[in-house]
Amino acid sequence: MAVSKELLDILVCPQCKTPVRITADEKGLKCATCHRVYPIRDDIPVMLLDEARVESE
Amino acid sequence: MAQENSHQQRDRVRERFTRTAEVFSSFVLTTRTADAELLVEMAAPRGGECVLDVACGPGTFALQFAPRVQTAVGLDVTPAILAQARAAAVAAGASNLFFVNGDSAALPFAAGTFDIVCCGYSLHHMSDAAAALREFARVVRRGGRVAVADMVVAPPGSFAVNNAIEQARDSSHVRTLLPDEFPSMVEAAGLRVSECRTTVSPRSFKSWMSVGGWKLGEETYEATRRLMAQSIEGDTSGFHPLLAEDDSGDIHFQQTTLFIVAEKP
Repeated sequence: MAVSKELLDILVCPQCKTPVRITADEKGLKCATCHRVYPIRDDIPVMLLDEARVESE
Repeated sequence: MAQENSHQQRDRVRERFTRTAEVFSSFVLTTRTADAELLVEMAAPRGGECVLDVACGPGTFALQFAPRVQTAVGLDVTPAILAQARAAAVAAGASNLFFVNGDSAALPFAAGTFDIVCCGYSLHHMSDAAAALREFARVVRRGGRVAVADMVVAPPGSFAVNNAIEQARDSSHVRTLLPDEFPSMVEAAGLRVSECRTTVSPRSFKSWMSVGGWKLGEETYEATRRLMAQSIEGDTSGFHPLLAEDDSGDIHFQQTTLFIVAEKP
């Protein structure tokens, strides 16, 4: 797995603090509250607001 | 809601630590092991605990915590330095150490997630160190520890002179704290300071500039050297600088570091 389970268990959105979930393509981590998707680069989650894209749903 | 570090400040930090990723990592991973061991000893991790190293750089502190805890997480804003950290973790066989690219002022963790939050030699790079400490206090559990170490302006140095030298060398340097100011700031974040220790490390100006990415003869090198040399008389910087007795033109000085462990009540 690109991102370890240990990290997935504790990572939240830095903006609204909602736990993030890995996207279907496993290339990002999505916040269900603000719909931001944080990219995963070189297997490292990029939890920065201005690097996230906002998905419509 | 916590605000991220200013974009300007983040850009300055990234520029500095991308440009110097290799020389900086190699320097701190070889010379700051004792510092990391001291902070680990003071934080007294137990086997089942989870630790966060904020602004972890190449993992200097996280690598010392990892063998003593269940899980260690290193967070940094600069991808190039995280690549160094990951290589160091692989070399050390630290399979319980994980990395996140993130901002120290808006941590991507829920309140009370960690048993220990540590931060070594990084508060001076943050736009707002007091806000960062409040953020550390948020993500540590009640009864958990925040363990921070950073340079301080040693007496009789002046805050302005010391920081002018640091900023001449490194545009990502925000402020070195005064020795009294640092524990007060930790307490103001809602933490209870349980132990403070001070260390003094001898440094060579040439080596210090090299770690900053500057060579003899370059404008930044010469401008910083002039300021350091001007501070020799009366030790106005608190660096206790002395001209080398050989003809190398080097300046020997001292870096004073304050280590603080505080509990979240």
